[in-house]
Amino acid sequence: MKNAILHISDLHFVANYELKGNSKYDDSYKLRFISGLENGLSKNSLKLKYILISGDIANEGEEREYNEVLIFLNELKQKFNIKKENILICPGNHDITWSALRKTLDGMPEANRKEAYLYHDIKFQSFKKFYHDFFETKKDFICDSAIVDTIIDDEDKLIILGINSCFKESFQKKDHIGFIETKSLENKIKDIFSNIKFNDYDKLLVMHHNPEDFKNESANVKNWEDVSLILNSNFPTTFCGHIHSSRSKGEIKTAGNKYYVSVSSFCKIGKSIKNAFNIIHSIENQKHKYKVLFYEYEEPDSKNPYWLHHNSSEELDEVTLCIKHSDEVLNDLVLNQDKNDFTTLSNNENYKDLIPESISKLENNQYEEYVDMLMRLIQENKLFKTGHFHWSKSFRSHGIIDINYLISNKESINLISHLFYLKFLQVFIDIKPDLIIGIGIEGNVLGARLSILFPECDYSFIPDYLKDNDFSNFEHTIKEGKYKNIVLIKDLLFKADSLKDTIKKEMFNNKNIFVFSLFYCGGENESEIFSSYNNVTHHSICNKIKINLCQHNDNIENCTIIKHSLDLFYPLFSTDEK
Amino acid sequence: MKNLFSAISENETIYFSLHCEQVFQNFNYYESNISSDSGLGYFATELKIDTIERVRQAIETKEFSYKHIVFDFYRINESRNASSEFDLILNLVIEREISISLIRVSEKLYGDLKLKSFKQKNNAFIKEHDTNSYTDIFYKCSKIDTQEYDSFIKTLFQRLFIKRLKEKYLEPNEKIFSNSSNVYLPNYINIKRFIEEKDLTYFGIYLLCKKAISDNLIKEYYNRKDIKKTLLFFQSLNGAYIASILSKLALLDMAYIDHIGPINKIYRTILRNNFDNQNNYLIVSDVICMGTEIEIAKSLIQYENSIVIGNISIVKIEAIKGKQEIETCSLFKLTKENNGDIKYKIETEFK
Repeated sequence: MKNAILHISDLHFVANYELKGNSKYDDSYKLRFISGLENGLSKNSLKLKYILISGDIANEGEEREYNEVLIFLNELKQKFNIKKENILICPGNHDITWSALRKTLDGMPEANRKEAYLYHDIKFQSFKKFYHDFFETKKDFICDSAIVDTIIDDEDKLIILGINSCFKESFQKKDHIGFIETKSLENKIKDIFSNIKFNDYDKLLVMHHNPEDFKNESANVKNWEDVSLILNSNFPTTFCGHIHSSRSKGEIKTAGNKYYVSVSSFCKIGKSIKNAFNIIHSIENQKHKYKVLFYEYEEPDSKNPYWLHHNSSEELDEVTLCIKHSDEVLNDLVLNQDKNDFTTLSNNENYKDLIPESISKLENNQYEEYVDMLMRLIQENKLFKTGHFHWSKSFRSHGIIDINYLISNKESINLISHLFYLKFLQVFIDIKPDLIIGIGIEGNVLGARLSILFPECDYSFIPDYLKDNDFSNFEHTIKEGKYKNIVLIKDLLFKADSLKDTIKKEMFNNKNIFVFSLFYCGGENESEIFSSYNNVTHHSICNKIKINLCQHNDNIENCTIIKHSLDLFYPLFSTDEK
Repeated sequence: MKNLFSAISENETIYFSLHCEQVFQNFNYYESNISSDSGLGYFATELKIDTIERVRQAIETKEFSYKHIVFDFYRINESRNASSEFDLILNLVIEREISISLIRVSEKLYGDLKLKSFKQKNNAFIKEHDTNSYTDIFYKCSKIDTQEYDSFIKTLFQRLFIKRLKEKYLEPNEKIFSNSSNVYLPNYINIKRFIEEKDLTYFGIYLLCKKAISDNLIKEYYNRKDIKKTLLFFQSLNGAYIASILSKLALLDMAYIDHIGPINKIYRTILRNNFDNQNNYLIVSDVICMGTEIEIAKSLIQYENSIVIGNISIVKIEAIKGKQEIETCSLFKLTKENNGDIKYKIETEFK
């Protein structure tokens, strides 16, 4: 079995990939990719040994985006059992943390400012951290060096050199060019060729920008002539990304004795974009020759997308590269017309079984992380208060969660809204809600945010205690049957009692009611608290905090609070008889 | 148009604020730290491809029958990688023979969206605004008043709001007696209905945020260094909705008071924590009529040694002219002059 190289580029990962955005990436996309890659490898009797990523790993160079990349790469590494030293990652222009760079310059007196691109440590701060996190102590990223990484493999007699072509990139338009710092490059090349053993090794270059993009001058490396002089003819083949082309194949350009093999984006959304990956492998018994297999993501009817290995008889679907003797390459372009060479996941019987379990597992992991964040927030800000609180005659608890803080604080409300959003995505798979109702002040603050995340749903709100004569015109439309699936948003639930008066209202008859509460603090199994109602289900965001209720149910007069008139009352705000 | 936030229309013209669309689209992205553009709420400046795609999908629908589109790029500074998607919109409008105005396009955006080629290909009319450093492009438009965009948008929105006020929001008040002020209110403005109808809500709150910033009640995000923290304060269900969205747009914390009960002891503690820092408070309300609720809230906040810097509301009824103690910022001012058709009433025993 031959060793293979996977080349991907321009991942443009956004944070929380399951949300709408610029990226197609989600769990099912990932699984299709893995399956497409597996099929491509097995059909060609290949074992994946190297992964090359030519930049734009993140979309905005933000740390939270790299967190998603870390998950993906670690899974990929684990799945194909790749050693970390065989993974090469170059930065792209989207791996520059624009916000940090801009902020640094904004906060600096104009006279002290250098050219924006010169703040290498700041612009690559998130990429550097990601690099460190992923490779742990094995590799480190040096922000102002041309050399990102070198893979040297004695078994395959292969040297892969990763180059940083974003030396001059910043957030400024004038800096939006490919540029390679030459001093460190020169030293590295000298270093490699000082070792005579490497003379017969095949040498590949990886970078983000296309050295000489003929169609798009702004995308190529501005000082490529200087770089070429340093490289001489020793690295005739460059793997690159940057341009999200409409087709991945045919993107091998020849310039003199050099070949530039580019791959399109990995998971971008866009009408003119074709997502792609390439598999590269050496050809048996043909020294210095490599074959490139092109795969594209096809979405013929948007329902059954799959990764397709080109099979059109009119076009090239594979090329052979002669790494060492580049002048032979044009004669080595070969056609492969194997029409059965589809990698179609929709035909894979295991596909349907695979998706739900994997997705739910991954989503749950992420969801749980956010719930843990919420719990930390509660702990750090001491938001759980113990005591004995009488809210009403029927509702008396031995503790409260300071939901006021959680709702009022802009960071925590963002986190909570996002948790609700994720919970919605988990619950509403086959059916869609058509109306969201916020209950009480807190439910309304949360509901307002959700109404924007689900603009196709109508929105309303009601007070905690809905009196019969409080019905607005809108609530009459609910009764008239315009809505079938209604979501009620509540801050906290102990038991069904606090909502029973609401859901008993005539307007909710014959409707599917989905109660979503931020906290469920009751003792029973939360899925059963509405079991006496056929049409009501309950979903809590966090059920990790349990609060006891006052036990004096039958004889409330024995409760210390009542007995000694200790109940607190703050009349300044009250117009309510309760 | 359910999936759009800013679309307002009159006759055959439809207006979109791309910035408004983008900032609401950004609600989709969770930001644990407000550091990237998508986490900056109203202060975001990048137009992203998914927003353009959403707008295109709306224009593509069969129901879309407008003959003129106005795309307002106010506050959008850049749009990376979205030119191909925007090109689809331009192709679509040409195909459907819709005239289009692209107004307040920044120099950077002009390049990002490759508008030069649109202008050249379609012989579109371009108007340069050197003083404001933005550009307007018009395709197939003969008469366009381009000088006072803010005024044009405000007037259009106000016309729509008044129409809706007369037809829907203004309802007879069965109880008549106002709980908070000692007056009779034979009719009341139902802001809950304004919220439920949705079509003017989001853009309305966006405009309210914009106005509060231009009135200096809310500071630009990057100018907040060394100034006191400002919080949004609300005390009603309607106020909760408005404040929740404003908080996300303007990147402000909130504080509120709800129903009475033992929890007020806790609330009081929390409020005190806030007030101890001597923060600034902006009171968020639905309708300000006689201002009694504002006075109560103000007293409470002042009692806790903090400062009320102003009031933000959807509707302000100017029942009394004269010096205002609290600076107010409202989406719509109901005055003696514009109340003619609306017929809002405040009464006493003396009529």
